[in-house]
Amino acid sequence: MEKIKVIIVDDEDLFLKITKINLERAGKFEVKTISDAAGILLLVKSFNPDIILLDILMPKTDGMEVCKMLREDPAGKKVPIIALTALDTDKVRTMMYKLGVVDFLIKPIETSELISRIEKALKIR
Amino acid sequence: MSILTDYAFNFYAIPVGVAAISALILGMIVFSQDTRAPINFFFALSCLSVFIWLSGFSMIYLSKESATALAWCRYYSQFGIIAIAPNIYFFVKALTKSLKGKKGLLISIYSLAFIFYLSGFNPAFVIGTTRYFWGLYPLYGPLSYPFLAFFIALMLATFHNLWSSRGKMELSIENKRIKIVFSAILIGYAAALDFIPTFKIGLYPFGYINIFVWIACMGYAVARYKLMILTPALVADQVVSLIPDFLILVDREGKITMANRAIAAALGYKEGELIKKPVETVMPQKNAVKLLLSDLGENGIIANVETAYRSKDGKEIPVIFSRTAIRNDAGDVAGFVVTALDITERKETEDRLRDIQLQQEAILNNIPDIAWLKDNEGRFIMVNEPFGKFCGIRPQEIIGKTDFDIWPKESAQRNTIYDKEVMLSGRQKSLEESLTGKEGEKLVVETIRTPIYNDKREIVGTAGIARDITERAKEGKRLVEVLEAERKTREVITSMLEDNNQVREKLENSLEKLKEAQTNLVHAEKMEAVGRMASGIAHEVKNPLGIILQGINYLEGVSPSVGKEIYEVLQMMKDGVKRADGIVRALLDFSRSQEFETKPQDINSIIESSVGLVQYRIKGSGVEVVRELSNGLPKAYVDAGRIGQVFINLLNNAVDAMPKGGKLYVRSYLSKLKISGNGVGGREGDIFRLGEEAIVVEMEDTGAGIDEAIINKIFDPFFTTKDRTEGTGLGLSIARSIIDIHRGLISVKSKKGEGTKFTIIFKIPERR
Repeated sequence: MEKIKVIIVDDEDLFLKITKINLERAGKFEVKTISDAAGILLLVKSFNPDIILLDILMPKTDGMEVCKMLREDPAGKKVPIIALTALDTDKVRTMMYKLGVVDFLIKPIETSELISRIEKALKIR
Repeated sequence: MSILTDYAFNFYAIPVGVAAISALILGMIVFSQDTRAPINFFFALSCLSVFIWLSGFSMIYLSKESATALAWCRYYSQFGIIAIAPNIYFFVKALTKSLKGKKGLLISIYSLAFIFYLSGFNPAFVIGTTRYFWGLYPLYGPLSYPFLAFFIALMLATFHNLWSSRGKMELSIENKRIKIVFSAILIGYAAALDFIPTFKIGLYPFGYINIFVWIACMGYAVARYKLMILTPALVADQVVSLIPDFLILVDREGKITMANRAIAAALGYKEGELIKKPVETVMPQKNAVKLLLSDLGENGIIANVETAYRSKDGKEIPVIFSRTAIRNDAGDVAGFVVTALDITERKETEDRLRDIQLQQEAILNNIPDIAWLKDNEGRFIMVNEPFGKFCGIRPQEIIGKTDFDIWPKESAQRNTIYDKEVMLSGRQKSLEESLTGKEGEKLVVETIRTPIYNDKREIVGTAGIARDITERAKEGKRLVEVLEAERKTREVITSMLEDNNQVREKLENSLEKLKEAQTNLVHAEKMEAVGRMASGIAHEVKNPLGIILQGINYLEGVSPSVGKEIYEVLQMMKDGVKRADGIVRALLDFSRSQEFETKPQDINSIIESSVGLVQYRIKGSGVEVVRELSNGLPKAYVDAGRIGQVFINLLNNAVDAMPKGGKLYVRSYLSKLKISGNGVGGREGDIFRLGEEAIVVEMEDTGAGIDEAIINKIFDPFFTTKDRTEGTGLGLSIARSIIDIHRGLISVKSKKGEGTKFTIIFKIPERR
């Protein structure tokens, strides 16, 4: 079976590192991480992911801008995005859904839950 | 054959000949007005055909012999007669702008007409002549019938065309033109009665008289409305006089040669009064005049120069002017076209904006704290002097820069995140931050960030204030020390006065009061602080929690055979994370309790829906809900969601208090407040007056009751009697906070072993 390609965008390097290990250990995923969201388009082009996990509150380029960038990019607009953030307000939630994210997950989250939500998101598509 | 032998003078030929020549002259005049316009062309053709017809008939009248007359008729006059109807038809088509794309029609009609002309050579068309009292006249035979039908058909088509387009043209001048042409052609076509004598009926052919009238009408139409297409050159006068901008023409010497209506009116002159005046009359600024009259070479355009015009009574009107040089054929400047725009209003707006900006600056600078405004990309729009002093850069130089240009990378990054959070959430954010000052001293700074909205309620930036609270933070510590000292003092005093009950009681009373006051004070501050910090903390805490939980997941998977003990530790850690997350979420709820939207609501229906929501717990718990709700309560101004949250919280607590079942009384009634104290009375800070009517809601259980020792603490944040895994200790403090912002009161009475009663009092909105 081909592995599901995931990109995680987050400004916390440690979070990226552990989450990548946890997902890849499950056996179904191939994970790339990026902490400076400005380079997301290049990574999407070279890695061609199946799904993107996206933090919202990041310095410089935040999650909303990343969403917009991806939606305007011919390669990026096909990739489903799941918001994965500690910032939980109704306003942000609605805004992200408006920008086209398929799911909205709140940190802290267990790996098992994360995996099932990713699979659900991909199944819906 | 000579003129003398073939022709003889006939008086009747004269008016006909004059009419012919008049028609020809009119046609030539109109054609020369605009040789390219189809209207003029077809009109000239119409005139030409009328000329040929009438001049031919004039010759027929003069003819002595039938043969001469017949020749004139067949070869010459007929050529005009057959062409009249097509020419007028196409003239009208051009006039009503329906000529486009009719090339096929044009060719076929003229070909048909030409065939009729040729058929006139056949003796069955013009069969001969007869002599009437006015002279010889041609006679038509049966071959003329198709032509007459053609003639009448075209005539009707012409009228139809005119009739159907009356009043439908774009310009009123065109509509007027159509009206007058319609009557002219109607009269002209009456000349067709001249066909009658060709059938041997001796009616005098007065058609030329109609032609005279027609010429007069069309002449008037030409002179008054012009027949040609309206070109810019033609209507330039009207355009110039009507444009709302100021327009003058100035000759090379700086004299005004033309001024439009707008400028004359705005500057208070009569029309034409400005002509021949020097341009300085309207343009007082010497250098502007100099610029206006300068030769700038080929292009010669000056655009949008700000200056002022002067009105007749000396008032200055701010304008921006543009000018173009006009050159004669030799390429020399002959004069200038000067247009100008009145910018009085714009100027006023600009002045007002500048005033507002100055006021803003004054306000900002008047704040002793550091203050700034940023746009949505984090660039400083405005900062005050204390800001400049604090970072050692002059305020003007900070404008347009971002945090990254001013602060160390780490704090710039932090600030950017805070700003973004404020813009995303749309909420104010307050923080206490520790900083290191310029001289390396430790500082505690309180910052408040607020979103800035534009008139569309979109967030366009942030405003911020930072205050050095290093001193206050120190004082806070001192206050705690003082309280501690006081507690110790009290212990000592208590023990000293153990045997003096009276004194002790008094002292205890006053101490109690002192403590109450302190508790209230501390409580109020605590609540506010918790609210302010909650949303900030939530994000800061949830991120590391996310890392920890992922870490635990990682360890769980490292080696599944680590053994039961390590697995248990990991589960405990996970529980810990979840508990911390629960508290953070409750904190968020708490901070949200500060936001609410009130509407007139029926309290009873909020109670009913709240009871409905905890029904799943009541069922099978042995608890019986007894409703004693009064009918006809006035509506209260509340946020139904928030108040529902309070009721649910109290109902849940009541159910928790009765594990073995019991009765849960839910009451609502109208009451005049009788007992003073606890927010009721005339003291400062009291919410209700004594005797004021209010809505009272009670929730009373028959459960375990609350210990007297802790009853004062139950509204404090984080106070709970439940297991740490069950409650966060924030429920009642949130409830109190919600009731506080509704300007209501919540109180509790309890007796150990008998039950607990919570009472909430709501304001009744004043009747208008």
